[in-house]
Amino acid sequence: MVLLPRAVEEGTAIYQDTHITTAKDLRAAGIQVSFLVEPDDRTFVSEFSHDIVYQIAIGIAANVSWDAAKALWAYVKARCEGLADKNDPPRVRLQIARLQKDDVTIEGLTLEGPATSGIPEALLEILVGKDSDA
Amino acid sequence: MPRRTSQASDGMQFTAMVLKWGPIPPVHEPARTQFLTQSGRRELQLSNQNAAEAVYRLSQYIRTDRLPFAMDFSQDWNVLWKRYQRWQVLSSRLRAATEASDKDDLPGQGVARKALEHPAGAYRYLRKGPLERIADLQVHRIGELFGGIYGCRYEYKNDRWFDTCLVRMAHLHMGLSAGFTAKRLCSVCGADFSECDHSPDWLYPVTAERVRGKCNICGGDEGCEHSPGSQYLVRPTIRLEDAVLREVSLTPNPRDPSLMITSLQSDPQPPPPSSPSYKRRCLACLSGTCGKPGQEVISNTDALGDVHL
Repeated sequence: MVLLPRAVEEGTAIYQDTHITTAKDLRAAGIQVSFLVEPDDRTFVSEFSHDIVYQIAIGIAANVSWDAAKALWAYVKARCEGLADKNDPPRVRLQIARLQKDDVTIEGLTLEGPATSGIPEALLEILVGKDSDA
Repeated sequence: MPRRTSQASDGMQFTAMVLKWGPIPPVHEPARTQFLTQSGRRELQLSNQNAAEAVYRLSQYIRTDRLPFAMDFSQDWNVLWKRYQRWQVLSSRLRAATEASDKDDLPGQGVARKALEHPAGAYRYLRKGPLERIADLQVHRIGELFGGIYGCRYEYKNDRWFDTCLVRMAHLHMGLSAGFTAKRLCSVCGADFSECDHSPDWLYPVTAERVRGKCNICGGDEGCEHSPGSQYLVRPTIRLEDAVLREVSLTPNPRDPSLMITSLQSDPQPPPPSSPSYKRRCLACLSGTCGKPGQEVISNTDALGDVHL
């Protein structure tokens, strides 16, 4: 899995500051993950007022194993629950740039909604299929 | 009544604090409310300490049973006028006792200014919470003390008049948010924090040393308690490097509520000063026009007009 930057400007990949520990967390959960570029070519943006308070963009090159999918689902779910506010849920955005799943390729998929809207569950459904028992 | 001129055609100018380093949790993080409440309480405490010190210094020069704080925030003109006169008497007595000219700092002025800065911050932190009214009252009380004894003035710079009233600035319900990029380096190993092996949840042994004059354990200057060469257990933190400011926005919900406008161009603009000694005094806190506690201040209206000191 590749963590994708929000933008690339003059050769420098710009990631959201919430992703500083994302790769470490996902690796600790058993997911093989890397950044798109080397450390010298990446920087992190902090925006202290933003409608989208959590955003993650990923690219998945090969079939996703059940364990990896569930670990990713658990990570996104934990982040969303940490942000959850029943009265004023912040918006989260999950972008899957490319997903190869059996014979099907999904490109340019974006899930966006309030943190309480079930985005982690939707992610799991996309990764491993609708009938999976999470 | 003050004379008015038309608004400047090249837009409203203001100054503001846009960035402050600190561990304030982002909007929607669960720890944020607790952090804001603690910060607000601390600001209120500091304000009380400074206000007590200012009143103590005043008491060494002028004797009065009680300062004329108008806790009822009356809008009755007769009440306001009497209160204003009492402040004027006290201010005159203080100037006479200290033989101070208009340019001199009066006893307690610096600490009274701090006493006003703290509740302004407290009000910003505690807004929309259960302690909002307490902070709001404190802002108005100290604002009146400062305005009554020392006098508040508009600033004239860049050919414009600016309102610098902290009472009104604190009540402008907009704040500043900055967006910036920076490399995030690990405080333990100096590598990119997103790649190194150090976890923020663990403690690591680090040998203390001075890096560019700063202690690598606490970031402090000379005189901190960490001896170079000794080992300490530290939790990795993130060091920012190559920070680039990308944008600053005005927003009703900034991450740090204390980042606020600090001076705002008067609108409409009064005429420029007629002489170098001309000063425009702000009497808003004494006249009740800076709003009652609980009221939002919408515009930077003139108070009683120009006073030639």
